[in-house]
Amino acid sequence: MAIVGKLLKVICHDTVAAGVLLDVSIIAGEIGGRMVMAKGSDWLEPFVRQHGAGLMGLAYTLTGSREAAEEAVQEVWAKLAKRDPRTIEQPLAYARRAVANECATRGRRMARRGRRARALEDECVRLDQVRPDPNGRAEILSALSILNPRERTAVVARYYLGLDDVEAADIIGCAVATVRSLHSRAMRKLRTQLDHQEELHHDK
Amino acid sequence: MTSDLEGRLRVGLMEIGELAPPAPPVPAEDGRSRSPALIALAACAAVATIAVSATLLSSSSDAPNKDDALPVDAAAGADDDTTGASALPSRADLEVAIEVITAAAARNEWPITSVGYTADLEAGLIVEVIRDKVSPELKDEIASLVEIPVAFKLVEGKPIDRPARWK
Repeated sequence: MAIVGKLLKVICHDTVAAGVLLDVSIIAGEIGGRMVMAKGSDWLEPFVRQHGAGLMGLAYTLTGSREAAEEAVQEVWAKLAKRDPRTIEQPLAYARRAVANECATRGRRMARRGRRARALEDECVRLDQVRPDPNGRAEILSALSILNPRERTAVVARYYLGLDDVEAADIIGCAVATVRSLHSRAMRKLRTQLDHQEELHHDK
Repeated sequence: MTSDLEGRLRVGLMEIGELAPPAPPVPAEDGRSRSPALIALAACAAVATIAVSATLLSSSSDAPNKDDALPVDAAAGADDDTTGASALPSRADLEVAIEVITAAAARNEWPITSVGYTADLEAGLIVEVIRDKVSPELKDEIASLVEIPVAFKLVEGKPIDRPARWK
């Protein structure tokens, strides 16, 4: 610490300022210490290489927006980086849960700011044009937007991630029976919405 | 019918997932910038910035002019951000939340009689629900729609009318 003090005196040519800076250097050391301690999260890069695309797909199907999906996943990486992997029993399930939560938060924020409908419309146009769309993925993305975040997660967990109700309950953070009811309500809404979209399409 | 829809969802969602953009890289503070050299550099930069302002302030006999005060302004800005993060919901937030919940209530025919707030903004939204028609699950769903606190009041009455656009 004495050496740091001398160095600081050399830098600022002033004993009082060096005294102030000595405190600052201790704080900086602490910050550095915390960051070095976080180095235990070296597991994250291989994890991202292995599961990044799947988690990104999850975020994109949940938000219907590339921008929101990227932000949500980025936020989850940041959260994972702060965690000690030894404290996470199932990193993939944890990451999926975190992505679902982030997407719900971002979706609500976008809806509040009135940006969601426009982003979804742009995305549907893109999905329709990017390659032939015989399965109507643009309609599906649009129909998903009428569901609430938990219903949407229940549907995506089952049909995109291929999870059973127990695993889906873990992601949504609810009881297994709730997943079943979310799923059945979501399917009812989706069926009505997709039928309605089809009718509109025929009318055109 | 259900299996048709399930099949369509399986294929459609898979295709949507495939068209997702690539995953963003791991944040810099957890990767490259975590190297001891960069940490030392960042610490030196912080120290040097404060050194300059501290020296200027301690050696000057005049009152600090606008330029000298710049780092102090920057610090004040940081304080404002922190305060903002923990701020109470504003009236505008509450109004938007009312709109969101009212629209969802009308669309889903939820047993809600009214949505509002009191002068105590910290209490958040007050949602009046019909006593014998509300479930804990529905309360949870309503609360999950907005990012501000929601309190429920059990009442007797009629649900909110569905706006014409949802009929």
